[in-house]
Amino acid sequence: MTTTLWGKCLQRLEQELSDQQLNTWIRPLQVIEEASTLRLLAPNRFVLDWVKQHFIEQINHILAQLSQGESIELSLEIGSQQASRQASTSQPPKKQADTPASILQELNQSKPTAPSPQEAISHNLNQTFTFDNFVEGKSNQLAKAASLQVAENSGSGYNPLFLYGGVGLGKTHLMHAVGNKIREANPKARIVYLHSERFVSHMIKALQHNAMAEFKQFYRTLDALLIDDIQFFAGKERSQEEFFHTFNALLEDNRQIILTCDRYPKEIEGLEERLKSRFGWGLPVCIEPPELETRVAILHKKADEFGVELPDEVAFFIGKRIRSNIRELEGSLRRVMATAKFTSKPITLEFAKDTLRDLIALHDRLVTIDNIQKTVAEYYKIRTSDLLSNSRSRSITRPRQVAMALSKELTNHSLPEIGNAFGGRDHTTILHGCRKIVELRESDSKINEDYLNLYRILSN
Amino acid sequence: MQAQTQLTLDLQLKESFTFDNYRVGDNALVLAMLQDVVSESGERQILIWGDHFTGKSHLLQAVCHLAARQSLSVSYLPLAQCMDYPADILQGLESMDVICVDDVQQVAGSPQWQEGLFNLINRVREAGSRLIFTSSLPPNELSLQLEDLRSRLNWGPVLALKTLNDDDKCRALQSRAQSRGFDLPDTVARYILNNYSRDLGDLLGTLEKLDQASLSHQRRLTIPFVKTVFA
Repeated sequence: MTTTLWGKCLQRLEQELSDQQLNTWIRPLQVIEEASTLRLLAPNRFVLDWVKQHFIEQINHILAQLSQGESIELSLEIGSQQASRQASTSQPPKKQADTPASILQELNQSKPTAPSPQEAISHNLNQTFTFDNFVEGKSNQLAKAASLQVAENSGSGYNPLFLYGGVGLGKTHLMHAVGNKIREANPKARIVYLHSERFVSHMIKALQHNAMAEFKQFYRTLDALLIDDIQFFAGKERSQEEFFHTFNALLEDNRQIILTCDRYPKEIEGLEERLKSRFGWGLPVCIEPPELETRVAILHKKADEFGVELPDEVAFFIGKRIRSNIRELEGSLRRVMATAKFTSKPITLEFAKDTLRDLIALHDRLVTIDNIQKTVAEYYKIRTSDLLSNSRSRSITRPRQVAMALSKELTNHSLPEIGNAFGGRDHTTILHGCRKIVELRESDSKINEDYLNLYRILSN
Repeated sequence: MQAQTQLTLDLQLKESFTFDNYRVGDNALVLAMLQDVVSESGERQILIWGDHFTGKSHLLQAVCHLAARQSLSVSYLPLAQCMDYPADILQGLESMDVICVDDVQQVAGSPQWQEGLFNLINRVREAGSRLIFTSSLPPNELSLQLEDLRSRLNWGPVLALKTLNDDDKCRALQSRAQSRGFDLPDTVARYILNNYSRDLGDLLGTLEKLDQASLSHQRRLTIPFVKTVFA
């Protein structure tokens, strides 16, 4: 058992504080014990202030009792100590100054021995995201092809590569895959991936510490810069300004920029026009929600990665019901696998149905034909009754067919049932409507966009 | 986050929330998965959801205790009590080994907090820590404006906590009575369950009233006495 001073102090606090106080404020503190000082590291200012206000006296009091007269100096600071993952107490704290350069420093420090300059890690890519394990389907074919192009002609081809689409469709995966591919050809390439939030926070810290020169130097000398979810730049003018300059500098030097976003550049509200137009300079490519076959292939791939045998019928069962995004697909698969592990049962169709029963009930409840009709009518600003009527005006028939196609895709109702729900139409009418929409989505981008928007609204 | 004056009061009633004293009912599987979170092979992210008084917070505290016993760093975040503060509270938490976030439904209606949680999940993923959420509803039924957050909450297993059946509720009442130093006969527990609100929170409230009434009237708990108290 712990015999350190802080360990003893913790034991006392466990007696004196409620679970909630202990787990919220005390346990997140990391500690460095030196001869006669005790340094407590709080993860952020808020915890620091709270502990100071509410617990420091109590802690001091306990320490005084425990140390039997020997004076212990207690200090509270912000920081974290990665080494505490092994519960060691003697290493110096990792400074929490999250500066741009620290992204790569962290990586190098995490190596057991200090790296020589040659082997210093020059990227922070997630190496598990590659083109090889990216499951390709109709919905993401174009995005994958474009990404491959960029990976093979880094900096000199499409620049920036702008990947956009709904949540959980694989944008981040592709982005890392490009980075990893670039490094295959040029292992020394300096590539940084970061979420837009981190770019913003780096910039703010650089401003606070008067280190803008360092900030600029760091970002403008990368071989490739990958920024995820740039829609979160919206409304942050100073960051946009700084990013604009970084962007230009990198582009001028033929260094690759890859961005992801949840929508087309022109549609990002709160983003400066000049940025929007620049984002469109390279190649904006859309990733659409995966169709059933792709969803099933993704499930198989994931199950493989976990070393679990997933019967086809189970993959189809899950893929048919979870349509909105890949994260949810993964979450459901994990749930099935974990349940199998803990109950020591084989993964069969019956088992999967039973495990995911609540989830599936929920989906079926959310996506009803009724709901689809209401949503489509609202979207096209017509009445629900129009959808059920016999009107043959184009302004009614198109939305009607869209609603039919969505009903077929999003519910498990039979075609005769769908026909019934649309004012008693024959199932061949439904089939015709669905085919028509498939055709039109290829030839008419407006209809395709409407369809995808509605699909997103309904399946989320 | 209670004030110091309440602390002494807390002390007398202090019950430690562990896996051992959680009334498992039909939730053995959820329990097993949560206990496994601290192991190498455990899930990196879990969301458990359920009604009031299914013991969500209890389970999170239990995870914290378990993790702390294994010398992992943990943080527990009761969102219900955090909403008045800026989402900056979430900064730096990814350096913990296990992060428990209670009552995710609280962030509905707060774009800042939704973005804060979204960013936390991203940072935790990069840092390789573990995240456990509780919620009153599954992510797809929460009214979140930020779809990015919703999809991330669905990233790991989403598990429902089942409410206790009548037998378990009776036992829960009796063990609460025991811990407060009085006896609750089977018949009386059944009577309470059959005649008043069956919500576990309400039931515990009922029990409290009965405890006080029996103290002040110096009577044992019998069905006739219960009737007079609530007459």
